[in-house]
Amino acid sequence: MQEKLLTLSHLAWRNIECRLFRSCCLIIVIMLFSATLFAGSMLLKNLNSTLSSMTDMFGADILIVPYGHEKKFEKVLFGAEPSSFYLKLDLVNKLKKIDGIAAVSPLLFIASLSNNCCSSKVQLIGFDQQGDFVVKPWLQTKIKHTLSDDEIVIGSKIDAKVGDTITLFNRPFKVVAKMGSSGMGFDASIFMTMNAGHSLMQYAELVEGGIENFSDFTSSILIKVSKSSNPQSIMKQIISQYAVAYNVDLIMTKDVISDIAKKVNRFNLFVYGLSSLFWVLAVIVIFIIFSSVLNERKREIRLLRVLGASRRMLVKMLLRESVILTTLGGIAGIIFAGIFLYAFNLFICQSIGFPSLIITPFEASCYALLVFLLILIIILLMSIYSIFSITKFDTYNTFNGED
Amino acid sequence: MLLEVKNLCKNYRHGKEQITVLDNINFSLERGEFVTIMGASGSGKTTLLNMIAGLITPTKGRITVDSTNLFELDDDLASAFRNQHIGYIPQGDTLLPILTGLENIQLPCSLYQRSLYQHCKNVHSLDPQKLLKKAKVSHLSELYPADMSTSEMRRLAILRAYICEPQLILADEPTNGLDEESINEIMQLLININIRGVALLIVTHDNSVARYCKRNLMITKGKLTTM
Repeated sequence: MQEKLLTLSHLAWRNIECRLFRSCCLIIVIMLFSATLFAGSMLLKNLNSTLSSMTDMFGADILIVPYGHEKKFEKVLFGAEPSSFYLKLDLVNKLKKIDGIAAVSPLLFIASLSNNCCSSKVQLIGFDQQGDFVVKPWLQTKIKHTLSDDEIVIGSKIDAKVGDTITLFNRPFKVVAKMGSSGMGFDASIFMTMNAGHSLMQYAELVEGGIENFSDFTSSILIKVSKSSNPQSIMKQIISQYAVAYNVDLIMTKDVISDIAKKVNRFNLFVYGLSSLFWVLAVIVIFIIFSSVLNERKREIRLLRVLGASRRMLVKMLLRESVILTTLGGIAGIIFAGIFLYAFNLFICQSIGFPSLIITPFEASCYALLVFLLILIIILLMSIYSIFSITKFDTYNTFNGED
Repeated sequence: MLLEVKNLCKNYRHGKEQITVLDNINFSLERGEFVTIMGASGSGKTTLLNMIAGLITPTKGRITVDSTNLFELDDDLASAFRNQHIGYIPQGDTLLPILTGLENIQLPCSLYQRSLYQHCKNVHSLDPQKLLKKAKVSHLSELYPADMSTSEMRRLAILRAYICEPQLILADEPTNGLDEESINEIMQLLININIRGVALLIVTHDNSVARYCKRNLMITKGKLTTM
C-alpha cells in the first residue's frame, strides 16, 4: 500500500472538501465581497480618469452655445447623444476684437446618420485648423500635417482603421489617424475641417429656414481669456454686447467641469457608501461565519492539540484554510466582476452617463492584484482573531464530558 | 519513576466563588504500570488527566513525566513531548471525521512529518496493516468514522494513542457506553499494549475496569485515596 503523507496543507484541503456546503458558502461571500470591491474600484477609477482627462483637454474659459443648448453641449462632451445645433459664425470675428481674449475657437457639431463604421449615430466635429486650441492640440499627438477637406480623424470607439474610407452623407472621407482613448465623447466622434463640416451641413439639410450660406454657422465658440484678464468680466462684456443679438448662452467652463465633478463626486460618494456598507456587512458576515465555523471545530482543534499539535501548527493549518478559501473566492469574484464589466460596459456607461470604460488590461490587472491582496489581508486579520482565541483553549471544557 | 504528581491543586473561579477541583493530589506511576483512577462524575478525573498531559496548567504543584515538567517547556517543545511520550485517549468519539481509519492513526506521526510505515517498521517492527490486523481493525483502514461503531472507533483511538509508542497512555473513560463484550475487547487491547511496557493510567467510573488493573486509586471531591 502506498502511504500518502498527511501534511497540514492536506488537512486544510480535506477540511474544505469534506465540508463542501460550508466551504461553498464562505467562497460565495468572499466572491461577492471581492466582486463588489473590484467593480467599484474600476468604475471609480474610470470616472476620475474621465474627469481629469476632460479638465486637461478643455483649455477654454468661456463657452458660447445657442440659447438653451447647454445640456446638449454636455451630452456631446460625454458622448451620450450626438447633437446638431448652430449659431452665427461671424460672432467669432467680433469676439476677437475684445481686449483680454487670447483665443477664440469655433466647433461645429453634426449628428451623423448611422453608417457602416458605427452601429448608431456618431458625432461629427468640424474645427478651425488655424485658431483651434481645444481639439487640435490633442489631434496633433497623432497627425503632424494639416487636414485636407476630404480627410478625417476618428475617435478610438469608431470601428475603422487608418487608410479606410468612411462615407458620411454620401461623401467619402479618408481616415488619416485614429486617436487613443480619452474617456470623453471625443472617443465616439469623427473630426474634420470646418469646411468639410459645412459641406456636410448642406448635404444633411440640418439648418431649417432659408439658409444660403452654411459656412456662416458654427455650433459653439470656445474662448480662452488671457492670463491678465478676468474671465468673469469678459463674460459680462460679451453678454451685454452680443447675448441677445445672437441669442446665445454663455457658460464658464469651470462651472461645467465643476458640475461634472460634482456629479462624479456624488457618484463616488454613492459607490463608496454602497461599497463601505457592503464591506462592513461582508466583514461582519465573514467574521461571524469564521468564528462559528471555528467554534464548531473546537473539538477537532483540541483533539489535534491532544495528539501533539502545537499552537503554531494549528494556526498555520487554519490560516492555510483561510488563504485557500480567500484565494478561490477572491479570484472568482474578480473574474466575475471583470466579465460583468466587460459584457455590460455599454449599459453601465449609458446608465451613469459616461462615455466608456478606459481602463487598460494592465491597469485592470494591477487593480485585480490590489483588490485580491486587500481582501486577503482583511480576511486573514479577521480569521487570525478567531484562530488565536480558539487555539488558546482550555481543554477542560471540551473533553471533560461527564466528569 | 515515569510519572510523579506532587501537591497538585486546581482551582477554578466561578463568579466570586472559588471551586477546588483537585486538592493536594500526590501519586506516582512506574514504567509499565497499569493504574485506574475511579471516581464519580465531576470528581476531577479528566482535569487530572489533562494536567498530566500538559493541557491545563495546575494552580499549584508539580507534574513530571519521565523527569520532564511540561509546564516548564515552551508550547512547541511541550507539544512535541506530548506527541512522542504521552498517548491520550480522550473521552467519547474522538476520531477526526474528515479522515479514514488509517489516516486517523497516521495523524500523530504526520504532525511531525514522520512516515507511518517507516515509524511502524522502526518502532513496532511491523507494517501498519499488520498492526491494524493485530488490533482487529484492519477492515476499518479505508472507512470514515461515520461508518464505524463506537467500539471500532475506540479501538482506533487506542491504536492512535499507541502508534508513537509512548511511555505513558492516559485513557479517559475508554469503556464508557460500550457493552460487556466490547469492554472486554477494549481492555484486552489496552492490556496488550501494557504488556509491551507502556504505562497506562485510566480514569473511569466503571467498577468493572478496575479488575484488569494492578493498582486502583479513588478520587472523591478532588482528593485522591488508595482503594
